Amino acid sequence: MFGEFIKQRRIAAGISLREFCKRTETDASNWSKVERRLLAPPQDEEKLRKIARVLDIKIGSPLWKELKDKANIDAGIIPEDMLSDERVLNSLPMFFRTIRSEKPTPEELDKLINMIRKE
Amino acid sequence: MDYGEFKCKWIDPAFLWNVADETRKKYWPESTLPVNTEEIVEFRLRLNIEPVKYLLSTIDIDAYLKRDLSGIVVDYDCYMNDKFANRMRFSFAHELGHFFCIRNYTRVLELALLGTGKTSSLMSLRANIETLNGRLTNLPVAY
Repeated sequence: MFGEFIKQRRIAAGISLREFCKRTETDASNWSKVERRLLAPPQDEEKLRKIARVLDIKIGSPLWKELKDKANIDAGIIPEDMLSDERVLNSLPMFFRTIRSEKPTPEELDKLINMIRKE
Repeated sequence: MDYGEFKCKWIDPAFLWNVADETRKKYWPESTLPVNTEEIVEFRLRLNIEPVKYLLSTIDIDAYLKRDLSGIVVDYDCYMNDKFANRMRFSFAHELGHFFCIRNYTRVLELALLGTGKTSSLMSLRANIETLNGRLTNLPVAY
């Protein structure tokens, strides 16, 4: 996900792996593995900003958010803005069950009905 | 497979020159020198470049084509150091030679792998060849 995303944009911009790694001060051996999904993507904000700058992705743009989300997802991490919202956080188990096509328990249904009523 | 009995097929050098010329025309239509073999590998054939540390110092090679044809493994220091740019250009050209020859002998490779029972390698090779053939067919006319 993250690896393919970066590689696609890097190649479209005509930046070789070597050039990319020099400009982002990244180890090319490791980065080649990140692009092939053999290593987890970096999570460090400054590193991700550096990558975005090299790929001409504006910080704060939808592409920048996609880059960060993909870096999080590939590393098995829930994005920070989701974690800071307690309501979203509490709804996550229900969301996971829904996408797994598992039915909610009667208690969870009651909770959901209450939530809707309060809206 | 008994590798001791393997006999390499004789290929006429004139035929190889012809293949090299045709390949160059197709993948480096600019005809400028030097031919940027790294660009052909990475941007035009979309092969992976996989830098590995100490490849040259431990096994005395600076590049090799992966058996599943998905990419070229290169010595990290040679690849990253501009001082070795000419050497790397030659190494990429050398591996491209393997790539274009091997692509025409995939059936032979498949049979060799069948004998070893390495099913995953065989499947990986077939999948990569299908992908590569798709890429080669879909290349812009200029290439």
